[in-house]
Amino acid sequence: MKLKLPDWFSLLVFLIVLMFFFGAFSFTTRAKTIPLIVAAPTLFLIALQIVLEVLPSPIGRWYQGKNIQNQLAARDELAYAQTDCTASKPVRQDLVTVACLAVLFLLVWLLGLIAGGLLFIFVYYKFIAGESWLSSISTALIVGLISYGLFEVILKTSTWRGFLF
Amino acid sequence: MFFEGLAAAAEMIFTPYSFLMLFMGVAAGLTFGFIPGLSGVTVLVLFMPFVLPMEPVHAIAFILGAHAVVVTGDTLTAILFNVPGTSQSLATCFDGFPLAQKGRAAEAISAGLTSSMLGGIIGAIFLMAAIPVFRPLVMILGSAEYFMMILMGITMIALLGGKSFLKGLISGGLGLLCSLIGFDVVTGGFRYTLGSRFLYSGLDFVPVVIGLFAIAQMMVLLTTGESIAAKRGRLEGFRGILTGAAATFKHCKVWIRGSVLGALIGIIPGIGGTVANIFSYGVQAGTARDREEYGKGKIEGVIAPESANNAKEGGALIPTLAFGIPGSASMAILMSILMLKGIAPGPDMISKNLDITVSFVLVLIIANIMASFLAILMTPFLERVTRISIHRLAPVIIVICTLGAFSVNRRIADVMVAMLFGLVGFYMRKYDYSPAPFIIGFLLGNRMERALHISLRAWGPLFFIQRPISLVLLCCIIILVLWPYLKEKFIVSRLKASLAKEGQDETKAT
Repeated sequence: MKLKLPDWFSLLVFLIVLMFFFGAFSFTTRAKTIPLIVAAPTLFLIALQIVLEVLPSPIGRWYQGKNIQNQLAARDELAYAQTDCTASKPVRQDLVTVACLAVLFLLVWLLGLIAGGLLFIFVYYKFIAGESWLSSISTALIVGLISYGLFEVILKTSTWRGFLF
Repeated sequence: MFFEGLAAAAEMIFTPYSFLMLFMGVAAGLTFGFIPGLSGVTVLVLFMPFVLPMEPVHAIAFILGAHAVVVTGDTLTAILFNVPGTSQSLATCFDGFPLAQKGRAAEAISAGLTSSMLGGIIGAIFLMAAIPVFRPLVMILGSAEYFMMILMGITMIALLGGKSFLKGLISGGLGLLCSLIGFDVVTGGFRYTLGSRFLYSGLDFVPVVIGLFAIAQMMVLLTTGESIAAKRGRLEGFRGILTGAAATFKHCKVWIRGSVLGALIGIIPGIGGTVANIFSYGVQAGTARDREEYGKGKIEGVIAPESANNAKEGGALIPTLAFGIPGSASMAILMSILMLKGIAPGPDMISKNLDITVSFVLVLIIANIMASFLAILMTPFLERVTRISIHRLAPVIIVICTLGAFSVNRRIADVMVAMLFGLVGFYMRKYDYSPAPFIIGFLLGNRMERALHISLRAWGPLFFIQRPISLVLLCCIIILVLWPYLKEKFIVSRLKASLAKEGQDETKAT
């Protein structure tokens, strides 16, 4: 019995809901009603999900077969439009995307929303998408100007200036 | 009396200055609807000082025109980028975005806008017709029914929204649990805040929805390296617009039902356009014969929710105008503007100020028509956006989303929440946990809890079987849960019967 990535994700969800469940016991009787009403069946459903997908029971085999059938049908019908087409992509690509998001947050946190966003667009365009210098700089500047005009000038929202400034 | 009011209202509205104000309001509403995170409330708050010096009718034309069409602007982002500008267009994403991915963005936008316009008109007519019969309608639905309606909504979306019903239900449960974070309005305590002051007020809806839908979707597309419209081919342009408009008129039952549902839900104070949008989608998808096709790009899946969220505006004005009970934050702001202009919402709106009430109806109708035509004119250009390489589009959209997430409460932590939920949404999509039930649970969790506590106090723990409507809703939920298994049993038995018949025929033939 080897756990696959989706099973690990289900386990993580199980742990999170378990925390919600046990956390509810510290509340007053009225405050814990809904958390317990929701968390208990959710825990049961995740446990069922894990058992059905991981354990080699007849029900699990039937369920897995049904899932595969569903996936095959979905791919036949709409292979290009479904998000599960990412499943066949290497894990590295996922990590690059997640890293991009982390870099954006870091830039925004350090330099501010507009400057950080502007720099992120430039870096992504130039070094990841492989765009020309002109395209990278002009897009970053246009987005920066529109953001500044809309949020700072029209809406008068003073945006996050950054940890460094 | 009504016709006198209509004539007086028409005289006030059909003037060049009123029309100019209405046009400006509609343009502002569409723009704000197009930007994720900026809602109808933002429009009202932002332009409140601007309209106060105006004549009442001009102020109504501007402010109501802007507010009524924010949901029309939402349609565009929901279909093009899978980003519901506000929660009121959430269900539009379910089929609108898959249609854009199939290269049918123009058709989907056109159908969405046409049904929005028709829904808005029906809602306005409903506003006029339903005022006298409003009270008994509202009295039928109590907290028990509301609790059951939310539960049914989550179950329905879990069933329709993803590949795995079980994972859909888990996703809905997780969303409900996340909605409990922060201040508990029932007991006055704090829950799951982990000692963080930021979490005292709970997680805001806008950063969560931006992360779960917009950022996550862009991340998914980045890993595949495709544009939004994965299917290449000629752009639909005006042909797509005509196809979409024709599809709306072809499916007239869908938008009529959606509009009536939207207007009815709009009447109930505190429910709002989100429930109207989701409920209308759920009813449409749940009652369709080809319900498996929903969520994969079905035009009816765009028409039903879009007609409902615009029709809701007419319904929502009924309690605000007739009884002075605002059903939502935006209605409360609208009411305060009216009061500042010397118009007191209440029974007088029918007797003394009928011309003002009818002018609301006219503004709603004209604003919806104006907004739809304006947006339709923009559609051929917007359609091109779906063909741009995702490596050019995604960074820009993600950066704009971070600004949208920040603008709601002006907290950098909200940007972090948006990104965190972007990551969560990315892996949820990857492992077949549909994000739709999560967001519905998250959005309605607090209201569901309030409804539960009120019901428990009023009718005891067996409230759901004591009230006839809630009992019917409970039966619907049970059928929905058992539906996948009942359906399979039914198909297998029919298959066996047909095989047996074929076998008999063959034996006879030999």
